[in-house]
Amino acid sequence: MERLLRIDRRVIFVLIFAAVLVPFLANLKLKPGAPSPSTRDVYDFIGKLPAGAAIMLAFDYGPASMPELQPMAAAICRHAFRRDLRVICLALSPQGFLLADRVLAETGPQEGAAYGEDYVNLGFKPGYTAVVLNMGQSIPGVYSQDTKGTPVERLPVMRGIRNYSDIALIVDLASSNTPATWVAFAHERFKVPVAAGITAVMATEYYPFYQSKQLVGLLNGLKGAAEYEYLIENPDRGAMGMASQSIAHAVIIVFVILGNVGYFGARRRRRVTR
Amino acid sequence: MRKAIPLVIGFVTGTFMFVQFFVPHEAGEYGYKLLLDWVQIISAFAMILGLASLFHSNWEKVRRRRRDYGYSVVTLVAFVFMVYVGLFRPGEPVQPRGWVYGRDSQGAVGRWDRELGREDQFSLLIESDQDTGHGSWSNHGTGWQVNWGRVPVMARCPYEVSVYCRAQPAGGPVAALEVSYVDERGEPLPREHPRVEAKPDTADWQQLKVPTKAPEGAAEMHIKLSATGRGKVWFDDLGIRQTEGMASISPPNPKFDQPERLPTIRKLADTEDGSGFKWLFDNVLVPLDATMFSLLAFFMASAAYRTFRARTPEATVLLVVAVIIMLGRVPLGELIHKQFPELCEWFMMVPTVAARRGILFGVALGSIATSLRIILGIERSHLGGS
Amino acid sequence: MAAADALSNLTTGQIVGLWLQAAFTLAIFSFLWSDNPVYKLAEHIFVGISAGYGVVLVWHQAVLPLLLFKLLPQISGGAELSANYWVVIPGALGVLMLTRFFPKYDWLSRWPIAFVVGLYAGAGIPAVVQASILEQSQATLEPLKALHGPLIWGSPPVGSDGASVLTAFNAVLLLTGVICTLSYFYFSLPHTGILGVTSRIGIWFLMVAFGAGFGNTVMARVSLLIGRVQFLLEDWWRGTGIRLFGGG
Repeated sequence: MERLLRIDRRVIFVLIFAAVLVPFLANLKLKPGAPSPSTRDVYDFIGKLPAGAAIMLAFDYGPASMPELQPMAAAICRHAFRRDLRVICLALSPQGFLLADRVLAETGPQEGAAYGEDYVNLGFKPGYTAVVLNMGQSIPGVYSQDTKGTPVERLPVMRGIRNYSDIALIVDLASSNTPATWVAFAHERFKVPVAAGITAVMATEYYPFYQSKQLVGLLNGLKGAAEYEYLIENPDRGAMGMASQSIAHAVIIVFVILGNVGYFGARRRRRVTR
Repeated sequence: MRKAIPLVIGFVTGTFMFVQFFVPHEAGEYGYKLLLDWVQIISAFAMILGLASLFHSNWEKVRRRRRDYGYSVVTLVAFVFMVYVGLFRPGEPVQPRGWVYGRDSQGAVGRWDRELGREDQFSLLIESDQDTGHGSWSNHGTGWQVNWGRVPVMARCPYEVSVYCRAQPAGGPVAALEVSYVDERGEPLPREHPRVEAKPDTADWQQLKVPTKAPEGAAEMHIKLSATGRGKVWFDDLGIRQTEGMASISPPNPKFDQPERLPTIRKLADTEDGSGFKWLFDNVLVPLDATMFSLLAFFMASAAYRTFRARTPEATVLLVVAVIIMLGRVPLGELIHKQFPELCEWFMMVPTVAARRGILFGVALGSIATSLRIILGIERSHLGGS
Repeated sequence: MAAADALSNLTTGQIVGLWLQAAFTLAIFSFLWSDNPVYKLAEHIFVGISAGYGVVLVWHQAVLPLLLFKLLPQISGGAELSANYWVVIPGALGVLMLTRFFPKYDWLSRWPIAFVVGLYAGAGIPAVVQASILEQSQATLEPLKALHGPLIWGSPPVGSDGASVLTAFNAVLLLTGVICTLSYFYFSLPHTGILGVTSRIGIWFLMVAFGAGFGNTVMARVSLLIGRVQFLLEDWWRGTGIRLFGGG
């Protein structure tokens, strides 16, 4: 029994790595079933917007959270481009705006959307609460140029966009507490609908805001991304990860069980010997 | 004095923002916007402060030869290198001030020729090794160059635009001069673009001339110098003459002799593909950051095995719920039982929301109390003292 | 896309980049075996490059457009048409922030800090009241409508099938959970009597929430590893044409 308590951590490391790697090599695919209501709500909201409406996509994360949030961003962009929505990207996190470029460079051309006409990357500005509040007055007032240095009034995609009253939905893709900022300062004050795509670490913190409908929907971690990919019928990196995710969880659960069996076994033996 | 002024500043800005929320007044709106702009600028300096202190601490480590200071040297070198690449863009072609090589170019390369010129040694060059190659230089582009290259015009006024060109081989590539206009908002005016083209000579410079008239509503002239076909075309000595009236107009950098100055005040092209800055972001920063955090998967698994024990009833609840969530959030859960995801969703939406909301209320009340204490000057810890 | 095609589409810079990414990924993973100089080197390069990235970004996306372009519109590329000298004030306040490096004058750095902290405190109070207290309270009470409509809320009952029984149960459970959790954090009275019971129940709710949090955290961490494995397999191995186990 006590041997179960002495598994070397490197053994665990190797098994976790294998649990993630093998499904890819074996080309094992596991499809999530019906999408979570929170994912479905985001999809339905974007699905009901009229063509030409503008959604704002905030890239509030860095490379560390890419695997979870980048597939969400790509899926939402695809959905929006297919529905002829305008996509305005910006970043409250310094590294987010280059990640936005990556997503747009891939999804834009594939979905027949053009830079400047269907989408734009406005880039990063410091002082995030101030940025969120300030755009309630004027979006061009905060972002006078896009990341390429073009004045925003010369971009067709920005035509008629003054402030939040011209934005149909804000989707915050976040790895920190920015969704709370968007809710408190953009949604409550200017009544613009906000949805969030978050890392699973933050999930329990944001379900209260989803239950209260302060967030119209919530994409939770890689599962949320995979569900959205299936909703738009374009399974991609999120969906591909589901098999590895399943196996790795199973391995971790097995280790937790082993740890407990070992622990209680050892405890009982100690009692018996006493 | 030292204590009073910050307290007054905090009181004034805090009270203003608080009152403005309830009393949206026009003058208030103006001040509100102004303060928010200011905060953004100050936040930028806060970021600079953070970055500078990181530099400073590593610098001190190296200066005092502390333990493992070699790694600090690595950090400093990487830091300086990234800043250098990002701000000064080494290796990228230098352009003459006010002129940009067109993005519509295909199969041709445009560069600033510093060896061949009509009167001096500078000119613009377009070079292609394809019969269909096309390239263009213009005074209009995105970015800060727009202002250097701007040609303001008067609506309804006639002009003559001219440029010298030369080619190699003779009778090879076609050189063209094209003029168009935009209004005050930068919108192109829908008129035919006056244009002239020629197959220039090799031995001597040949002048292209376009007579044109600024249409109604025109505010600026866009000049485009293009070349099509295999070979080289040089352009030099641009001229713009107002053919009626006395006023004269000076074209931007007509001899193409000044390099772009202020290398750091350029458009944000550093975010585009092909720039060294973006390359370093993609190939150094992204993998390091992402991999560093992915290590947590291993440590999490190892820690779960070592410490996650059903010692007490409370710990058992925690463990059971964690396992339900871990299974319910992946397709595996569904394979075990169809209702697994629903059970998982229920745990997230009811008991978890309840507990999280209880915490949220506590945090909210705490932050309101702290905010009031800050505005009223009772809380001073952020000012470095009690 | 076949591996060979993928390779032919890549530029030299991209191929070198992919190999560099792979090298850095493996260098960081080497930490799993033990702390070693290769890991340390990669780690310190990361710190330097990301700090340098921050400087370039602040310059291009903040200092230039927010400050210098407003003072010198002629260098702004048409983004600013006229000068706005008001920005001298926050610019000066910002510079005062840097007095931190000079102990003799560092008291001046309190001015910009007081400005920012005061402003956020003032803007935060109404926002927090609205977003975290009023709306959240409402969302806690509103589901109780499912209990019995006409009596309490003046709206018709939802129905009496199984679904609405569950809805009603959830509504009561939610309210109970919020109150009990709050009571656990109420330290002004000893946790005995009724408060003792509610705070005990509060602990159970908290344990469920922490369990859910842990489950989700495991999910998130594993996802990050999946991202790196996807890079190694899809982008690096397949992208640069390395054939693994005969696959392509």
